[in-house]
Amino acid sequence: MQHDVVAIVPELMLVAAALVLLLIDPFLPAKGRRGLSWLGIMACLPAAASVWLARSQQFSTFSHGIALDGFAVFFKILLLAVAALAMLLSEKHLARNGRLLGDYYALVLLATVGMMVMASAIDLATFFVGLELMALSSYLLAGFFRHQLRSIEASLKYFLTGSFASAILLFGMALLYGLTGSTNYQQISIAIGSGSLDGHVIVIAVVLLLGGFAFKVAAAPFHGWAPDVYQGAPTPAAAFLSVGPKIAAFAAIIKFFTIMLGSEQARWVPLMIVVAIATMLIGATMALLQHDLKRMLAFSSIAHVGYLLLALIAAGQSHSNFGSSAILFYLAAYAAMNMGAFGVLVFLANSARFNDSLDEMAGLARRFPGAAGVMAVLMFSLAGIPPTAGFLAKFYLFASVVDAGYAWLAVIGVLFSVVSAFYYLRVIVYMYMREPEPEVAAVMEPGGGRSWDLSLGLGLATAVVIVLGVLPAPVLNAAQDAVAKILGS
Amino acid sequence: MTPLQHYLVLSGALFSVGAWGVLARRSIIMVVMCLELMFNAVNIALVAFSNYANAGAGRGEVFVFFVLAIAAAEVAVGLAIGIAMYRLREKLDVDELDEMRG
Repeated sequence: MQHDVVAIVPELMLVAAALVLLLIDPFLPAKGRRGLSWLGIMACLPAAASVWLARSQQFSTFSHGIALDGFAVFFKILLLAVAALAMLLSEKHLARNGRLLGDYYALVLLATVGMMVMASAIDLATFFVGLELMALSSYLLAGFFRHQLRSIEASLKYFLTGSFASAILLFGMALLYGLTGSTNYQQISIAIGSGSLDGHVIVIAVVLLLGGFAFKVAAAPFHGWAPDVYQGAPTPAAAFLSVGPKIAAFAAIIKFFTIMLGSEQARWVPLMIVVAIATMLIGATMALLQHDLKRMLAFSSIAHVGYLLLALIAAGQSHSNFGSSAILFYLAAYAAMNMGAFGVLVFLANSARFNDSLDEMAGLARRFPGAAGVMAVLMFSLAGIPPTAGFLAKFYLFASVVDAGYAWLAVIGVLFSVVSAFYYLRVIVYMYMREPEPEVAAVMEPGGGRSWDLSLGLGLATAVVIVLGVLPAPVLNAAQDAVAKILGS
Repeated sequence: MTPLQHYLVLSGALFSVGAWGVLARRSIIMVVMCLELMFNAVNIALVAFSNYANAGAGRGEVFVFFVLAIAAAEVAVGLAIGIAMYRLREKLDVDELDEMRG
């Protein structure tokens, strides 16, 4: 592994762009802020290019605190794509709410830097710095519409639960350090693998880490904040927050549980099975009861986290890379379909007096055929119906669970995914087969409507969902390659 | 020399007090202070581990510096959100967060 500052060049590019955005924003007239999002989007392109160019080698810097290896390359490119998509979705919505500021894009970029650091950290200290950079930026993004009580309430709830989770996670990491005498992932993994450590302390550390990560990815029993945060946050910010932090957290979870605690899987797998089943149960059943679409998507994303945890169990149990690469592929598919679904809500909120309720979706196909078509594709994908990305992602994921010898868990997962198909297809039924109630019919407002950025973002998300569903090989190979190169092994 | 266990008991006790405060207190100011208590409890554990470690001594102290800086940033963000809340509601009570239910 080469020791070189090349390892953090993509992060430096994003930080530079964020600082430029913060500096020029106050000097611009309100109208001049149109198109500011492209500064942020354009920063993601060279960052992704520099990651791609470095893919065949491995670099590390900050005295082995952070490494750009094959695993990090996959996650960084995915996270940069998520950030660019989030910025594409935002501009019009911010302008309509009178909050079109460069700060927003700067916060998205800084949160992305935090996520990228989380994915490529190989030391507990750098991981924690990345985690907090992501978390602090996310709290502010959730509260970006600070004149709306809901947004501030979402922000405060996110802050309180998120910081609590960070403290718990930190205590777990301190115990890992105390046990092994090192903060380096590889040395921790070797020390734990030696089997000479106190088993009771390892159990406490596992419980604390699992609890902290469960908060971060909104897994049961610590999922309570997610619906409130996604509902209250500005919709484009919710699109970003429902995807980005989860991708980064799963990158870290894979490293923590399958690498560092890989030899202790007998201690964490039973716990994880309970958490995964409870998460799927709560996500799938509570989503049935929701009439607010943002809350429905929040509970559905909780159910998706449950499926991902199943693959994590597979990754911990068997020594093949099948489970981990299924997680990576699922995350890529989930990013496109979930952000797209939130993007459709942004589009509707921009073009009509829309309050995110299911009733307002009635008869949508007639008034907004394009948006309804996109939403239908994304709902099919979230439900896991071929030929979409969601189907293949779920197929690989459950195949990996069966492969690891947990056929009964895969059966439970498939059952919950059948339940979940109900609430996704219900949206399609409302859009295409229901007549709107006259009083709730969303009214087109003059001057509202189209935004070129938003349409591009929605088009890209839909295209990714369909292409991944038909031609999964490149991304799947990249995922397998990434897992094979984790921690330079 | 004081045995390591004493430090860990102190750290665990402070962490528990902090966690209890976050869950039970209503004022946002008090909750943020309790979060600080939790972070500082971890700092005590990290320094103690670092002092007693055979290999990798000093790593813990370095970690503590990062945690201190981050905890300060965390308070700044928390209080900023609190101020925004106060401007809208004229109250700093966690129980007031009931706009969304479902």
